[in-house]
Amino acid sequence: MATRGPSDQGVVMPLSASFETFFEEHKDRLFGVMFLMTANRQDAEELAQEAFLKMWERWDSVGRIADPGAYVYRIALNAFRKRVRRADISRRLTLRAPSSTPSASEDSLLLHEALRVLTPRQRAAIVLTELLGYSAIEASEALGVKPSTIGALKYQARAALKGGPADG
Amino acid sequence: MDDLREILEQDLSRVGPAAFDLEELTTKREGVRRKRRVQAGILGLVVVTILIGLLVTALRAVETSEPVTTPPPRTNGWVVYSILGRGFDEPQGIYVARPGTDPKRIVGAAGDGARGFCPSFSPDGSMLSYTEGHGPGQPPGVVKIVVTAVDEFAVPVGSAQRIEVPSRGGGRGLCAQWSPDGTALAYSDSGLWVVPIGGGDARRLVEGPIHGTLAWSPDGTTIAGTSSGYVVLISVDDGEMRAVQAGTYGGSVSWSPDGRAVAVAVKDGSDGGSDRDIAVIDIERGTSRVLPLGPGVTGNEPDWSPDGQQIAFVDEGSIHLVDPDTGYLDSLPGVAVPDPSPLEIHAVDWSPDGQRLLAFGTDYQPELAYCLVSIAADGLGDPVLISPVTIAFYYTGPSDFDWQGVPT
Repeated sequence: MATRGPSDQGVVMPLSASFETFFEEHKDRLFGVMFLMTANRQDAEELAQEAFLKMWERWDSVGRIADPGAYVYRIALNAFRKRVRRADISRRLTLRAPSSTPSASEDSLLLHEALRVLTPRQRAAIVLTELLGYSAIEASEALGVKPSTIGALKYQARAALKGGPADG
Repeated sequence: MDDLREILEQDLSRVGPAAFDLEELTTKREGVRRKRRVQAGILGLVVVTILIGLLVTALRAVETSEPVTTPPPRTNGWVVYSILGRGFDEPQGIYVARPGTDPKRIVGAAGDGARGFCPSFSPDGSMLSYTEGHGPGQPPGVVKIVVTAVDEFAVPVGSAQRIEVPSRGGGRGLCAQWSPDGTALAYSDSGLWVVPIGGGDARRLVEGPIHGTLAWSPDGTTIAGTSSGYVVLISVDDGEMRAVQAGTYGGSVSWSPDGRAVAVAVKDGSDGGSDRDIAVIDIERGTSRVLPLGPGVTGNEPDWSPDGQQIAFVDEGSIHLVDPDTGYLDSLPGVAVPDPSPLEIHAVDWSPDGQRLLAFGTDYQPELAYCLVSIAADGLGDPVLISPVTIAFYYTGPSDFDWQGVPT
């Protein structure tokens, strides 16, 4: 059964819990999830650090958050969504066609060969739904797309993993 | 597809641990905090300087036996909004609302056909202004700006002041703006006009079109607007007009709380003009600085927070906050009210205390409708629905709602 990545079942963080404990508990997995989405170690570290910094700033209010683990993921996903959108626009502006071949960067070689052919959005859709257990609606909110788009991205991802085209 | 999850889990374990640790995070955090402390120090100096100035002014007033009659600031805690157009489930008119109470229609009665729009509370919350368009039996070519006192329930009381304004159309673009001390209204109609509250003739400061939402400077000496693609600053005293920034769209101009700068959306020039950034213009120097929002992020309708630390704007239905000093960009989570599908936000307005944002957005499910919600500016807590979720907001625009700090 897929788990909801951060802290299971929306456990309320006790007020006495320190940020240090929270950080140590979540940093590797959040970094890992961001890596699966970005296929880039530096991007993944930046996104995870940005999320932890914001979480730290709001740590005094953590008692009001139902699930702090899920919240730090949400911050990171917001930042990820923004980067993808900027990258899309940047690509359009420079009239560069998206690469149809899988990235062969040193970082991306850590990924399973099947995952390397996917676009960041496709990877994000399957990471959120398959690995973190998000519903299509939750994943759509996290990525800023319609729920039906999540279904389409997952379909494209599965097709690509079976050897088909990886459009999207 | 369990094998897919297996692949993901395998890759996750292959990636290994994160290379950064709490020490590195602490260093970054200290850097951010140091920057904020410097900013806070500067702000503190500004505040102290202003306080000293106020003290000196007050002492002089005492010396000359002039009474100081500054009303204590207060807020009335109501949101006011207008519904335009007939035939919807909510009758047209002007409404007030608070979380947890049913909205009340305070202007417009069944069948009167009058169109009230651009409602706005005075800064102390004791008065309401709005524009009254043509109704049945009213002469065409004249619209009225109505000013009325309101009680603690935001219901108009006493007789209203009606300022007649000649208008070729229905007056839809005629939105009066309160001066910071609540003694006058400014509006744009073949020029920029200022009219005193309580009676007296309107005074035309400049001729020619002034577009966008007018914005009074915090000290009430200057009104900002846009004209022919320029941000213009107009002296309330003598009508002298100064153009300070090119490349605007005629949208709203927002003053910093200290009155030293204004923010406005400008063309960013990177893609031939369709993208927009936010420019911060130093009033004294006349220089401007563009906040780099990055490609793909469009800076629409900037609204400076009351504490001066952030500028809120809307892009692609989402609410963003940008630090005017560092350009640091933050985004609020999607507003999942009244159902899990996020609203597409069109406009935001800060609460007077800077703790919350009032947002107007579209809900597409189960059918097209609109609503007003209140959102915590730090993104924490659940959004609060303020208005009904209704298609009757179809003709409502960013100038058709205002608020005075809603307790939640």
